[in-house]
Amino acid sequence: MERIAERMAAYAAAGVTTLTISPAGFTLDERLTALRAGTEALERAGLA
Amino acid sequence: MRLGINLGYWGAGMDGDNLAVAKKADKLGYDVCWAAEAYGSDAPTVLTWVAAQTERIDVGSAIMQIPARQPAMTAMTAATLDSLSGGRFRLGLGVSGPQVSEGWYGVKFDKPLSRTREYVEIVRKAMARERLSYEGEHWTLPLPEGPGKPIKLTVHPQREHIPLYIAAIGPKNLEQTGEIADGALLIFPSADHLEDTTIKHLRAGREKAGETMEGFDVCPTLPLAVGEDVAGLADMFRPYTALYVGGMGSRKQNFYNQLAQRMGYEKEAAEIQDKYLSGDKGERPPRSRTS
Repeated sequence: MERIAERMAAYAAAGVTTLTISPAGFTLDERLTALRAGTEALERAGLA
Repeated sequence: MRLGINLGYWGAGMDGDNLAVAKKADKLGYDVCWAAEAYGSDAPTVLTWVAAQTERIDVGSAIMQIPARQPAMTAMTAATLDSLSGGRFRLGLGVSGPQVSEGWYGVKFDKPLSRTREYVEIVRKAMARERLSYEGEHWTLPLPEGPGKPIKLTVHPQREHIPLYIAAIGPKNLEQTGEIADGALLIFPSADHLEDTTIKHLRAGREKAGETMEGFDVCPTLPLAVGEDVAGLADMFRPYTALYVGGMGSRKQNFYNQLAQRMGYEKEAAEIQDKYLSGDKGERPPRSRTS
């Protein structure tokens, strides 16, 4: 999660205003996990 | 920074899951849900389906292909979708590529920059409900010496201004996008290289239009996977990267390969393309630097 948050912060610092993710996974659960991780990482990065 | 999701292409057996992901994103507060289009599912149909089953998330085309539709039709689709969704549509456009434009649509892939500029101008005029007349290199409306006459859109869009994005990779396309669009749809972005490969060109375009980057939406798509094995997760995306960097377009005209080169990955880009075009798609592409 920290790694994702760090990368999000890097993209924001580089000028990204909307970060669009393709939530990856072989199952729906994995994709939903990635989706939730996106919002959690954004908050952790202080960007929400 | 806001978050979006890209659901990619539909009709390949995962549509139920895609809808579940879109609905969850809506509830989690994601800002926008994008759908792709190439030579399978069409973006507007997918987005209408998603918009009807979500409440607040915007729905956007990433992209609706320029060779696929006349600009007036795109304006009609945008206005209708915006109206049906309660003002939640974002119009993302792109030129596609030479193989799809000429092979699937029968539209010559020439002068993509001026074609895009004219297309956007006509779409904006039509969406503004102007009586449509236009004289350009690629489009003349109405056709001269015939029965056509300037007419205007009968649909009243939900909003006066529907956000318009362009998918852009190369420097000239990025600069034009900064000049004429409200946002840029980007692929394979690297935070470390974004200023040099992308932002400076968008900024130059904004300056041409007398604007700053303020309010312009810089919108890249990135895959996101969760787990402990970083190398293993990166392996999930190698085939996809190899397809784009190695297999898209042709050896001479592969926009994604050129982007990788501009980031400093000349050697890796060449190796991936050599392997892919020689038919070596089964093997794992060479391990490239992850960022």
